[in-house]
Amino acid sequence: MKSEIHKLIIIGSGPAGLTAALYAARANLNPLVIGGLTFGGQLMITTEVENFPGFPKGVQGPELMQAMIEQAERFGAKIIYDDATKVDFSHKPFKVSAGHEDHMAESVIIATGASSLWLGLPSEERLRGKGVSSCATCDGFFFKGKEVAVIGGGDAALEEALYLTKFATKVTVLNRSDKLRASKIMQDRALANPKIGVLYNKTVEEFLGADYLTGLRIKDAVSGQTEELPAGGTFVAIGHKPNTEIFKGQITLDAKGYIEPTDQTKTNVAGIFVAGDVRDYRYRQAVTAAGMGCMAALDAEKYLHMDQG
Amino acid sequence: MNDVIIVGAGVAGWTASLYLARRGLKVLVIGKDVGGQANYTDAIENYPGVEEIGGLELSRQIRKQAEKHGVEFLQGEVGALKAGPNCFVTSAYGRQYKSAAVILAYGKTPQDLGIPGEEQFKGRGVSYCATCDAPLFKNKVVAVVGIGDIAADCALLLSKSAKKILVLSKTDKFVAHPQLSKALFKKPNVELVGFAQVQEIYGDQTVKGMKLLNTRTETVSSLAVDGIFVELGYVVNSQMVANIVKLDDRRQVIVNADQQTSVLGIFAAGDCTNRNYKQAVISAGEAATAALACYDWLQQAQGAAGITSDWTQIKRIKN
Repeated sequence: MKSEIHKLIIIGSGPAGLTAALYAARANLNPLVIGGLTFGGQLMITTEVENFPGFPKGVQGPELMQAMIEQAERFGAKIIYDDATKVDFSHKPFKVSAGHEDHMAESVIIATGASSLWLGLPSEERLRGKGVSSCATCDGFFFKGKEVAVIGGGDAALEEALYLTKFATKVTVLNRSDKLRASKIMQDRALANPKIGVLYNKTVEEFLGADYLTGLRIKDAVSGQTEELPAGGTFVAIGHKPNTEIFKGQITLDAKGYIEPTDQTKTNVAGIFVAGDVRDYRYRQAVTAAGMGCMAALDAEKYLHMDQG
Repeated sequence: MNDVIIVGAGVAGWTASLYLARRGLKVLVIGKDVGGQANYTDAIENYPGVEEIGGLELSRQIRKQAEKHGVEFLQGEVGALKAGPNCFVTSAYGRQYKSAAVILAYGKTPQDLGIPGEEQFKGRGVSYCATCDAPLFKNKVVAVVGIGDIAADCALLLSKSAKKILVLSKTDKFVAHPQLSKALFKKPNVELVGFAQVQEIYGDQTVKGMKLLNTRTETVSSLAVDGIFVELGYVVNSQMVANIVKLDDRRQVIVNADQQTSVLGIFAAGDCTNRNYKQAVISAGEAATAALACYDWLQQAQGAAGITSDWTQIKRIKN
């Protein structure tokens, strides 16, 4: 058990957490960042980021996150690469357990982000890592020369599809409705790529294969007919869920597990703040997360001033 | 006709334009200058992912990024914004421009002291943003000229790194929230300079000091300082939209969590809104939200599917 009581602990090391760390460090709060074993958040599995303002040539996701880590550390933020496993917000100082150690703090910023959603089929679970993946950037290379499928029709799905064209011979995008949800620019790009084909009104009924994925059984929502689509790999890109498992019972979560702020970045527990995708199911942009991280740090700073008044 | 007109060409304006153009919309940015309030800062160290960048340079980079996607720019000062039939009409320098939606991002500027030397030493010791510039005055002597909680916040922040913080007041007291005031004057390096009215700022390359009028004895003296933080609040020029969107008592545009103003189809982002923090990264974040909310509104107004949240998607999958 550590006796040191930090002024501020930040849980999460994506754009929200690291921007909060940067601002808090510059305000001499010496923040401790519980960065997680897979640090850097969702941008670590993103290739080219074209819409982070200030980078006209684009920037690689991991490169941007590395820059943010260095920037926060330069001003005195301490980052540990362990997962937060348990929190106690019932009294102060607040407790955050990570890597067999308990860390204490007068205030906490939750910036744990969101993780990929899965369809929830038993066959998907069984074949995960055996041809079924949620991260083309991580696993795309393994599907060189194969035909693959991408499930989903948003920006992320089409980005995965475009990335996969580097390796796969054919990429089939399976979209649930008759319209893609992705932005026009992504649609234009994806549809212009000769390797990408989009099938509309298709739902996945089963992932096929004994030890390794061989294909999918898909159903047409209009005709009700099912067919088999051969696929050497399948990427599920249907959305995200908030990483709030460890906060259950500690602060108020909404029906889907997101943390709803009471005012700006404040939560229902005084001294606990929230920023990024863990509270935002709608916009989910790196820069919106960063903006909220900044606000959370400023809110926490104000809280610490007043609290110690 | 444009899909969206953006009023203002600072960090918020260009970021909003970038997000809209990437969704294939026709976007016109109208700005009196490029850069806005960030131009007052020579070195921004707290924009995430960028080690150090000048305020103007940051706006230029985002402009470059936006123009790659086809955003157009018009230099001009917006005189008025009116709601027309099925569109908004923005007038600038006597000409009228139509759009289906508008994003207000014209920012605000800090209130000046309006004294000799101030203009000359802006960015060279005279600062209007402690959050931005406090680290530059580590172990230095600084003065805080300002009023109320914002000045107290500024001085508290400076108290962590500066050697000495002189808080000026025209009376013998400093008026702020009692808790803040108490916390402030408990700091060993914070000192109240009472009955002081700053008359002039002097220096060579950078600020060396200020001339003070003693409001009681009416005598003038010099006070050596390395930096002067001015905290008089911001001036917002909302004249052009005063008759169309709701403003708060500081004439800032009132927005909700989706950056919508009181008028459907008009959104706002950045320093002209009623959010209490003014930072480049917050402006950029708000602008991305405003742009996506605006896109969503336009799509729905045209009967198409807007951005759906993960929620609705989850529901659809389960159905």
